[in-house]
Amino acid sequence: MRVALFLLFVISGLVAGESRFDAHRPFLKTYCLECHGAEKQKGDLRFDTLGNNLDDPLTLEKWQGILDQLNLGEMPPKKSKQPPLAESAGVIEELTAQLQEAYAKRKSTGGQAVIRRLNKYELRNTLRDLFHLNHPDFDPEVVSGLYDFNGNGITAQKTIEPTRSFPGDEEAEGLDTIGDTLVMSDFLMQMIIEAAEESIRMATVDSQRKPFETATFTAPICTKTLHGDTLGKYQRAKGDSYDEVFQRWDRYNRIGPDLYHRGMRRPGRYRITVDLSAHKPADQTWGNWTVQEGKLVNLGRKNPGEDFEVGLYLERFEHLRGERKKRVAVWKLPPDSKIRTFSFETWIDDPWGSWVGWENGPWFQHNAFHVLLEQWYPEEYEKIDRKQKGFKKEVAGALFRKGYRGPTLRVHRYRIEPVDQAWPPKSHIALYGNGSIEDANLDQLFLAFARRAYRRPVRPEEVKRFVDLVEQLQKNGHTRLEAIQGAYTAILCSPDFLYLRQEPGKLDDFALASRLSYFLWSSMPDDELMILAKSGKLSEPAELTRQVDRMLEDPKARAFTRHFPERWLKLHELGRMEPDRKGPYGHYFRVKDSLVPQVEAYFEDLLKRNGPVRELIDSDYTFMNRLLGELIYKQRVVGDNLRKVVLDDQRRGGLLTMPAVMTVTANGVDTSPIKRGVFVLENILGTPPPPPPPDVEPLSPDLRGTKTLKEQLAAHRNQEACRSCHRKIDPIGLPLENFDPIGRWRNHYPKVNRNDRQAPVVETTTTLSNGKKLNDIVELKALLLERESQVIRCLAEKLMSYGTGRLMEAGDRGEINKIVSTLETKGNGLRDLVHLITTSALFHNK
Amino acid sequence: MSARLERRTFLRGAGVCLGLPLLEAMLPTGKAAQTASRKATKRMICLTNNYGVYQKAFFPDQTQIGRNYDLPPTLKPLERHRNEFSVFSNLDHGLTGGHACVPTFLNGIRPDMAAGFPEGNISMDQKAAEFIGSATRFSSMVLKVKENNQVSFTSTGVQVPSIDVLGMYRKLFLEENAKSKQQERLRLKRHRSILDAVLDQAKGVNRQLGKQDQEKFAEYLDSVRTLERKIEQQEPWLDHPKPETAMKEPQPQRQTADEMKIMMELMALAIETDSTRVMTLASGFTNGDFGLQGGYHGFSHHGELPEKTEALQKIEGNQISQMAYLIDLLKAKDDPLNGGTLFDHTMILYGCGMATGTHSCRNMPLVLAGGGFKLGEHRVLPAEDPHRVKACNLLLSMLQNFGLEVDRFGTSTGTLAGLDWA
Repeated sequence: MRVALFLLFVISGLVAGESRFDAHRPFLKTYCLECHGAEKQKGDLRFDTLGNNLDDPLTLEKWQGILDQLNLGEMPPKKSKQPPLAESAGVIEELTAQLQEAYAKRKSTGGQAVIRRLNKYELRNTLRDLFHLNHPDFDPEVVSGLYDFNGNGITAQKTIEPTRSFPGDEEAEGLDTIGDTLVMSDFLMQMIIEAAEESIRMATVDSQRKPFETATFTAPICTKTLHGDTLGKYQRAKGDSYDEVFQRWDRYNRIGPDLYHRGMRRPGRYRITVDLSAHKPADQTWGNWTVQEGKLVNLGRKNPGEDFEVGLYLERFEHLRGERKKRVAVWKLPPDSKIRTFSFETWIDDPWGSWVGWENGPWFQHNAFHVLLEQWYPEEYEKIDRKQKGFKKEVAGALFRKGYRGPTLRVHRYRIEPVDQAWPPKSHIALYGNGSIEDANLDQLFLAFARRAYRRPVRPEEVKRFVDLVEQLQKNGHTRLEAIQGAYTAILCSPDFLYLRQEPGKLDDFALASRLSYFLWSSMPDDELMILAKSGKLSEPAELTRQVDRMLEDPKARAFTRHFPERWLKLHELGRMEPDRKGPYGHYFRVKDSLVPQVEAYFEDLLKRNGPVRELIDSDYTFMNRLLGELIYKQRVVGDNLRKVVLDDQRRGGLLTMPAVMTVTANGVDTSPIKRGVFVLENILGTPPPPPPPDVEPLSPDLRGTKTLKEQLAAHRNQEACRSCHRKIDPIGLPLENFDPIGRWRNHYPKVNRNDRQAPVVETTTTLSNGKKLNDIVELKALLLERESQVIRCLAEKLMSYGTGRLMEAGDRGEINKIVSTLETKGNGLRDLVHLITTSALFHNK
Repeated sequence: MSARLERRTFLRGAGVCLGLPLLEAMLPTGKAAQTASRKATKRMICLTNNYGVYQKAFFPDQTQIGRNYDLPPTLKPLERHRNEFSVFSNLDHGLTGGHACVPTFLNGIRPDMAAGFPEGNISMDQKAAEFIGSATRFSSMVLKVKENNQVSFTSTGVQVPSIDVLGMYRKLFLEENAKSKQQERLRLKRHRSILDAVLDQAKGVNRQLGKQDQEKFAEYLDSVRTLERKIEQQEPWLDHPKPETAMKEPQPQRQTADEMKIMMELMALAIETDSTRVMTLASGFTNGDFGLQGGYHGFSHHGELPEKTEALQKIEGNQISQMAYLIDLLKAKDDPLNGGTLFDHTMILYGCGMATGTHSCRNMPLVLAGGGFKLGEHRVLPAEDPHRVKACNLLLSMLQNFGLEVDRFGTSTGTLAGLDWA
């Protein structure tokens, strides 16, 4: 073995010939060869015969070992001759760069995309489009996972989409679209078979079942959500011709037909039509009420003439998976007591139902309406014996008799009608045709299906094997339906469906259609793209631009505005290190579901209006809802939906300081300027520092001592091993110390001991490696904006890697630079950047 | 994703002995077996409850380190096996979350954190089960007595449902009905036919690819072939008759202790017949056990009230004494696969992810016995924060002992130093 290795070194040395590495030889000779030379080989290591060819993994590993030892200062041993600091620093710096280069070369795929399998996100979206499934669990923003619905340790999957239990995909630089990195295994193959069978079952209907017939509901429309003694319950008992709502919706005040309270049961497109009227008493005494400490408090109303807002919601009722609801429409109506009709068309899937709720109504505690009577008619209230059993009924009676003085919403009619509901639905017909499955023309059905599944033209003989498979399965004892489903499963397990691949060189139009649609939709191309590909028009520049614009306008583009920023900023790692629920950062749990949507909303808005990329770094606005405003930004915002607001605190603009980013770069307990510094270098500036040498004790910000964090960092930077990288990392991370582990602004660290008089002050003043002073986050952002083209280059590289399925390499620099400089002439808009990516030569080649 | 590769290599390496179910008659016995096979066949049993322990009665004095320590009250039933188990102080997963930590016993990862880890929150037993594959009829058994088992998770985050004594007996000894057998047979056949058709097509695709793509695509071809082989390996079990037993079908018992005794006997039988090599059992409490009135959860919030802490000691003492009984049973049986006794090659871990009923997850109760580990001590690990050791290190040591070539598991930082095995 030893001999073989020795020969290998000699040969590789010869092949490499003259090399920059020979510069290191005198250093090795002076300080290392005594113990690792021809005579002695301590630790079985010999360096005099060490070759220069870093393509050889063994050689590379040995050089890396030498670098690690020098970095750590472990070698040469203390009792031997020590190299002067300057000399070893030089070797370290040079060697680091050389090794980085060698690693990059090893990772290289030669500037070509490698065949890649669909990742789990793409697979889910593709199954949705391929089978015409509309279930909300397939929506781009849905993240499947386990849910412990009452905190007792028993968990269930949140969703029922078929990839829900797939393992996470392999990632490179956070991206999950890199062909070389994504792996296939027998384990995953088994899951794919099962997911395929499940999707096919979802698309298949029992054709015996009758289609849905239009249903109109009148009072009482909804009694199921009237728990206990509620005002609503007594109103229904009065026999009015409408259902009346007295307050903002909560768990109870929702109006949806009782019959479909647990879901519509039949997936399909429906039109929901609701007759509403808004009522407000003449004497403007009413306002926004709340009950505080048993008293009714009038919060007033910002705008008394405000319209009523009514939301139409879809909701899934499934005990174990937890509640999931989604607002699909908002209707406004003036409080003039006139009946108005509102209508909305939407897809409603199997376990989902619908209801309407008053969005901006007053609020009082569920069934605490007696305070209303006490407030409005004290003398009536006195008359009622509060101890008696029917107390609430009396109160309601008195309220209705004397006249309810608050504003109310009345629902007069609730109508559900199916919209061109073909039966069986499209999803079924696409698989089995219109007639009975016994005489279905399998050749034709399979051919049509395979064309969509393979995203390319398919020859009839290619599907022959699936027709044979049906026969074989039937012989094995399966029914015809099962056998056909088995054949569809096989199509979904075939490499043509599971993998994206391109011929070397320029992409043909079909490969381009796939690349475009997986870039912007994370799903298969639609009919329009396929038709254009077939006619060869897709790659024409004008058509391409038109298509990209069309695709970005499509709702499916949410897959891009959601998934790309999430991967680029590594937000999928959120939740790995959550703060303690009861600790000082427990607010995290109240906002955690808005963190990624906030980033998405910001990115989407910028993309929509072609805003300048620099606004990703800094801006005077952001997206917020009430909780984000209250808990993180200390700014008053109305409403639970994210909305664009001007920031009170200008230091908080841009993506970088958003709570999602600040949380993902902290560990739930404390923050690290190093981690945040590395994050900015890697993902914003695109200059990742080399990984730290092994076995270095991590810097623990122990504030108990007299040293401040800043002093510690300084000490750290003065160590030779750390200096070359940390003088670049630390000054970038330090200004971000003003953000705590969940992204709130802070001027002080938490007190170390409860009895301490003062909490340590956050110091952010620092010096860059070029000697320039940097005071705070404002100056950091200014610095990043000075390097705008570098930021844009980094983003362009990430987008290109995400879109082409391969990491950018040194050879791609020229093309990327071209994109950056062209973009500058156009004003650096984000949407223009996406256009330039999709028209770039890199995007059009394998 | 190294685990998959490992499994694949393992299957390739062990392909011969996996082809068919093992029969005792086919195997050499005694010493010959040990020398014949490169590595001993190990088994793994994990015992847990859903409420942690009363720590004051569970942990030995923190100053008594090593072999000479006084057994604390709860561990007293293990006296007769004193040299064959160790108890560990100051090990835990470093998590908070009260009851939500119960499912972290065998992985160190709360279900809600799973998305962030490459293998999700797969539990140690299921990791071991993946390694076993179809070498035994059941790659693992997840069991319960009086309360649900919450600790077993597959790598896809599915909480493995648990079965009780009756369910276990039926699985071990009763043949399935013809219809469900037929359905399973159909499923296996269908998947094989599908894979056949796909592989045929894939070979055609492979020919069109360039060299670099071919290298990547080999993964796909390999996956399809491996899966086909695995399905083939599952099929014989359908026709292979289950072992016979003299034991009668057990009935669920009123008293937890009685039912646990039956469970211990079934577990010993499962190992003896090599029906499975991995088992996890969670046990609970039912009103009336040991003449106690109340609920397990209620007792666990003891507030240092003597009647409650005494009740806890009775419940936990029973769990430990059942463990001692299981050890007795395993010691009494010869190991047909390795020689020696079954206990020599069966590791038993007792513990809980939520350390104590008061929702603290610090200092998990952990007792390890058997499996060829060198035991017999009270191990006290560093108590102070930067030096604390993760409980996953112990789990990693167990997995390595079991035969897995892994160097990371859950939140481990390495194996547990000083824990060696033969």
